[in-house]
Amino acid sequence: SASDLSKRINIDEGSYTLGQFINMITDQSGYDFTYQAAELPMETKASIPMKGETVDKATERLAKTFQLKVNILNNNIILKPGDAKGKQDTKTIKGKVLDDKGQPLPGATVVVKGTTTGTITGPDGTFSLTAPANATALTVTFIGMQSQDIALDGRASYTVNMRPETVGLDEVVAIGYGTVKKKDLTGAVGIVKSSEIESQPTESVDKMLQGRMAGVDVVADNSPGGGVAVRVRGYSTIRNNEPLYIIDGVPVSEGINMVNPNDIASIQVLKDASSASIYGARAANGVVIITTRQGKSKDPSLRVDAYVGLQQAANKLTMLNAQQYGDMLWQAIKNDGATPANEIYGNGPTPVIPQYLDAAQIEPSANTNWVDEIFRTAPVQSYNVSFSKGDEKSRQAWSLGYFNQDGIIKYTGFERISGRLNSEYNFFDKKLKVGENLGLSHTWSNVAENNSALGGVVYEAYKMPSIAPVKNLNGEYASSPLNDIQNPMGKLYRNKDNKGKTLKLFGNGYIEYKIIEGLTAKTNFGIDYTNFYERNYSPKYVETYTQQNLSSLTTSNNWKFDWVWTNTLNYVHQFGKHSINVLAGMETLKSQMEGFTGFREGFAYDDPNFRYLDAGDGGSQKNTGTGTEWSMISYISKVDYSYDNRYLLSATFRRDGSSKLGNNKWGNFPAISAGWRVSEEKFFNVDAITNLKLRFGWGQNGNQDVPAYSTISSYYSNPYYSNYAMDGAQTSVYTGFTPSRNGNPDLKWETTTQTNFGVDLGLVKNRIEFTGDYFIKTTKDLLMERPLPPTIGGTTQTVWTNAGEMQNKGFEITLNYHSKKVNDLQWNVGLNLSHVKNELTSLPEDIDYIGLPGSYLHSVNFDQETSRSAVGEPISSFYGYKALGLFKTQAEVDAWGKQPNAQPGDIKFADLNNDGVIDANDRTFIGSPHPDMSFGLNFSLNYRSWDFSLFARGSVGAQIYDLTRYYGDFFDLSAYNKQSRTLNAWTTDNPNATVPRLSLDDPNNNIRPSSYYVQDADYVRLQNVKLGYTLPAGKLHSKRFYLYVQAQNLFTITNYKGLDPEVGLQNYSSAHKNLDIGVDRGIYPAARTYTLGVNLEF
Amino acid sequence: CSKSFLNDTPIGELSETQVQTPDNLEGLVVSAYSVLNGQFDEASNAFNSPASNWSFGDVVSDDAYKGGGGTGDQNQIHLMEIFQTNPSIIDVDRKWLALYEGVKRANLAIRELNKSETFDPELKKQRIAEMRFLRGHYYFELKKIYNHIPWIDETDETTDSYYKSNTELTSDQLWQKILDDFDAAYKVLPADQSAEPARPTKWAARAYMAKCYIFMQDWNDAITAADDVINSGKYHLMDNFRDVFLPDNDNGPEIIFAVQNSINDGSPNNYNGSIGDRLMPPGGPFPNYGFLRPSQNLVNSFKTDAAGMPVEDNVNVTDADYVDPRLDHTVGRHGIPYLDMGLYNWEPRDAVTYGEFIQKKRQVSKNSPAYLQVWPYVTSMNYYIIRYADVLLWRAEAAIETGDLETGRTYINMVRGRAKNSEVVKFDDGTPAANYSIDTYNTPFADKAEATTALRTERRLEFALEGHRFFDLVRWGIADSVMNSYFDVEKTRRTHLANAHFTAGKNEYFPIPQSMVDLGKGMITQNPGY
Repeated sequence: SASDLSKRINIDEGSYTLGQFINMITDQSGYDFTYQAAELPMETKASIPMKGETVDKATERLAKTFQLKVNILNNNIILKPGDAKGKQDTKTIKGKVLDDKGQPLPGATVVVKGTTTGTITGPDGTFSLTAPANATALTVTFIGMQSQDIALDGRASYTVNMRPETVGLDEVVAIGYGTVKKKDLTGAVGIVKSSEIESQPTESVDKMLQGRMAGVDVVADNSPGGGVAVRVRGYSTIRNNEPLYIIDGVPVSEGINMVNPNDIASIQVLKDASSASIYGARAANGVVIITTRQGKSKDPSLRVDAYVGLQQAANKLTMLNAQQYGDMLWQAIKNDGATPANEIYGNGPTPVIPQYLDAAQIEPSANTNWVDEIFRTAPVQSYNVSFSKGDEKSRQAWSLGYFNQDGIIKYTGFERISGRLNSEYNFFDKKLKVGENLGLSHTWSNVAENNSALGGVVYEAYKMPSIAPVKNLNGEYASSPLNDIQNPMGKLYRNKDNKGKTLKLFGNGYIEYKIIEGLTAKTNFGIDYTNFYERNYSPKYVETYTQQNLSSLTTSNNWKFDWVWTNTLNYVHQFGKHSINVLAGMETLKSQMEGFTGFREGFAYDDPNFRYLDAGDGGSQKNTGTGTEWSMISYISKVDYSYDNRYLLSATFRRDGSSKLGNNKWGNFPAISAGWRVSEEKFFNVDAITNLKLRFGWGQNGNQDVPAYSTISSYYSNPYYSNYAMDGAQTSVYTGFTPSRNGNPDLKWETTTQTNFGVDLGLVKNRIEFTGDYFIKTTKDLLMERPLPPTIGGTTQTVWTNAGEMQNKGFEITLNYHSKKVNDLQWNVGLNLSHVKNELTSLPEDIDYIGLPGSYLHSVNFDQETSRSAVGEPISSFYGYKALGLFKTQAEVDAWGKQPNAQPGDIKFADLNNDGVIDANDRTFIGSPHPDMSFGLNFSLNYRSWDFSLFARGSVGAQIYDLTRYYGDFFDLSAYNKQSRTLNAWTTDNPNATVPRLSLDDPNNNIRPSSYYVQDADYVRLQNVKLGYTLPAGKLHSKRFYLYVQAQNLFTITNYKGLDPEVGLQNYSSAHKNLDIGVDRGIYPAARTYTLGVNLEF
Repeated sequence: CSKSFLNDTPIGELSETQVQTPDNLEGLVVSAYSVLNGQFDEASNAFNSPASNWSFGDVVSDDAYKGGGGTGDQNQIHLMEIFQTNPSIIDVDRKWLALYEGVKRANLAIRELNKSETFDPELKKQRIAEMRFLRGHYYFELKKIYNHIPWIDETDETTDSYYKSNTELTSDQLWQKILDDFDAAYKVLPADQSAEPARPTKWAARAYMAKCYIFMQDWNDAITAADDVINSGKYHLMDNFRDVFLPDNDNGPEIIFAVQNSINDGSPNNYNGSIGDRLMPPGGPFPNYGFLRPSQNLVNSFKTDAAGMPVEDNVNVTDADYVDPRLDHTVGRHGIPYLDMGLYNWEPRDAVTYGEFIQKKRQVSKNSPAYLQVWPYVTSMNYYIIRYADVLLWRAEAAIETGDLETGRTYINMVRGRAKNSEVVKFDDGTPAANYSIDTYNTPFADKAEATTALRTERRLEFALEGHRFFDLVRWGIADSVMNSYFDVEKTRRTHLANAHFTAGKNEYFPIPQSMVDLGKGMITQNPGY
């Protein structure tokens, strides 16, 4: 921290003036002196050699030598002449100091302007002092705040509102195994300010990062409690691109949505290798350091934060209505040269909507807007209570939170109860610290299947025919009369009680002991325990083309327990202008997981009371169970050195050993970084530039994220494909054994090397702040599931191997402006902008590309291959034929001559190899899901008690593969409803159409993967608008009373025609997720949310 | 401490030494059988690699259409159907992977059995013989589908040894290797396996040898091999044609070698059932995937005259026409009882594209305990790789090819006679559901051409929708003419065939999977035309 009484002062034997002594002690300790130069013998010289004196001792010796009176108040050392001058006329001044939130500010220094007469505010922020009768103003100072002058106008009491310093150069930033002042940073670190965290109605911590800092991208599936992926500086590898989360020093690998955002004090993202490499393994994708709130006020403090809101779909897709679908079907059949006929729409010259859709006449025809039908306006609410208290000897904070978000898709939602207890105790004059941070949360979630071609409810609402009613005359969910789509409302309703329940317990306990001055030993033990339990019941139902003939229940339970034990020694020392900080330590980590599922079918009743395995048919029972464990040992070391606050140097070295790797368990990860605070140089005399720092960093991180046991060849029984009914039985099998994998004992660490150049610039007294970073990030020895020749068969066709290289290059710019406060009006504007260019730079010779396994393509893409990752292209680029528009006339078709089956209105495909034939060799890369540029724009304005803020973000240059067109634009799958744009499909009367002619036969295979599906995804989204009002302190006995209204996702400017231009990944938990980016299969759209909230503090 | 802390022992898995106990070696043998049904991973799309070859043998022939929800539903099988197959098609890939998985498992079992010193030596010989039989089967399938294939055997131990050329062996050499496997099995396997009917008998191996000889057009050896099987007296035709396709008889007297399917056996997702055929339930009371739809041409081919002789005019069957009674055991037609489920009176999926006929022969009734009522709606009825009627018709074919038309007629009539004497499909009131008329060939064939036509027609009718048709057309050398004349007429009936065309010299075989070419280190030669 800035000032510490234990700081050591070293002064040589030379003779110095009092002024010089004051300067030296200030420099070495961080303390400020308060005095009136005229009253003190500033030019008197003396020799007071000091060797490692504490600050109080040093000032005591100073006072003795120069005969002064010393009073140490907070961070201020007040010096007065030793012989008190004669008494003056005095007056008593009272008042209260509040921070920018209106909370009382204890410990602020209040002095009569131009004098040393002063005091310190008490725990409630109040002060009272005796000032000379002729005093005209008070000066109030507090570290990290702008000093304030208050004119004395005879009031009985003065209220002083403090504002944070425009630039928190002294802001303390949590980095690896310690903290550092922002001004001393040499790496690229993104910071979410606590003011940005507060009162943002966001259900999960990771979403708070969205658009807030350059180089950090967040994609989410938008469903409550659903998947979120954070990408720091792009995609650096194939499999795991998630940053490492460190919550209070404990790595937490998944379930970040279990953390209550209200418990967060700060979030820092270590973006470059030099800052992250202290975390060595697993830090290649950046590190998100989350610190939870601690008690800090001497008086007990009670906080209540609450908000309620309403959410709705911001955008909906228009599908054909019942008659339009019939008309387009007729058009398509006629285009095929056939006579239109359909079991529902009849066989007349025009399609006719019958009164009933079934022979039994219980299902009347309708004109249902299924997309409207599945969405709703849904409430969201959050309540938090926290208590805290802290003083020099102990701190405690505990909180309780409840969060409930209904999904904008009916019958979906997410609920969380969370509790937290953080405490710390100091013993033996602060030599020994013992503390713990413990979080416990439980969630219930009912997540709709999302962005999956087979089964996603949004996509199914697109496909369900409009002619089907929601319910039939018997009050049951009606059938689709045309296709096998389960009634989307029926499906949602039947799944409504299938809630996943997750219990998470995570936290740490630590003991810190100061062995000698400057040397601290710390042991920290952290756990991350997760239990997931779910009963998934499928009731019996019968729809015409889809049915569940027997009810079934799957009960699953997964248990995960990780522990980490960290032991560090930290030595801090200053001598003269040199300052060093050395850290060494060892960390041990173990991760264990077990899971099983049980299954039965044939339940007598669908009543939730019966949804337990025992109520099902015992003869149908099945079960599965698995477990894995792995472990790591790491040795950590780090040296920070600075000279005269100008030259900063930091070096880290970490050695990691992982059980996941066989013959090459150990990896070494060095990093070095340097900073030069040019503005501190004597020669630097540019008035406009308050702060200029140049940074350089280089470092390596490792990645060992392969499935457990990838190095070991062994045998196992897999009930999906290794058993067989040898005795010819109909209902039993013999157990067989197959190789579990092709183990690769030579697997080694994947290494990411990152070089970072940065500049921090503060202009006009830091009112304008600029941070720029340029980085090159190269990942070598990519851990890759490499395909073996198919002659090895399909069960274990791959081997994990280190092969290939990926590179990300880019820059990040952050620009902030803080206005002066003029007439109570103060405003800030901030822009962050980042560019990352991802490229797969090499692959093994015999591998042309990394694709998605056929089995995966089947379940998500209906077997259509949309994406490939190949050398020279960004990961997960879109792949297919290049569509050149539509043939307008037969003459055009003939002139082209390369598509013998084409007709006017069909898509013209490029003949890339010019061989006169359009075939698989003419496929190419047709787009990328990665933006060229992402940006966020913040604006905030404070006027007296009002505050207003606005936050917009967006990206340019990315594309989306709109796979909803597969069913939505083509009649190849004629029985499914189509998007309304097919009304403008090509016909002879509409030759300039962009939608191909409708056809069931599709002889030109228009439906094939092509750039027809690829759409620009540029967008700007008004993410957040907020208006807040702080009531005068004291209302309802509160220290702070803040009300706000907020709207999220108010509007989006984009040309993308689907529901949402932010598509993200297919599945946030799949091993293949990073190879399937930006494909729209009917995604859950981001909700528009209106919120009303209050923050109260007593 | 740190050393053992970082050691990794997989949970619930057998090490290389643990697998060497006799019981565990039996497990390796079991798993080599397990992949017979085409299921080789945890994915739900074994229909891309079906044991029954419904897509590779029926849809691509004149017997059936793809079906399903339009040409875009499993569009790649639509491309196969119209012979625009390309090497990137997922089915081409997954079929290869499934069959080579079988090869790998058989090789592994042979290798590990050979190593074992504790395994009972007599039993070891048998188990190795079984494995060679299975390997022969997997290679036979590969050969008939892809033609030029790399040969991997038990001596290929490392992953590097899986990189092999597919042109190193000539076609004849490949056939000889396959024959060698079956021959080795034939010499060792017992005549009876009734305790564990999944295991092949020596006669199954001999029958498979006959099949190889037939494909090699080695007629004399085919005759000897088929005669051995017939004379063994182990197999006979069941009295009723329909009974062959009942789950109760799926290891019956007519079944020589079958894929053993099972359901509700404790496996998740019931992947030991007829998983490759899971898209075939024909709708109505069944879940409506509706794939594999009999062609109009197939239905027409069952037309007979009053004397019960095939008509083969490809004119649409009407209610007044006589038909072979096997038609209504093979194809679901409107107004005809469907198994024990009453009249077929529902609209099948996408009838606009694929017509009203649905498959019936290998469909287990929804009322049967062998039918799984829940997803993936599979059955426990076995798929027959070789049934006795096969051997009889091969014997007939070899006889006709060698000029012995009368022996040919005898064996054709054995098959046809069973059809004649079988129960026909009847309405509830006991009256036949259609004008059934069938008789044996009661006069000697006039010439080899007539005999050949009779033989080929009989194979088509007897084995319709059992996955053999396309491969028969190819080995007879008539795929080009049959398919293109089929398309000429059929595309006037079904618009989805508008662009169908069979290219001679190319479409007889499927392409080598693109992934095999790409990953084959330049040692793989693509089949001609692809």
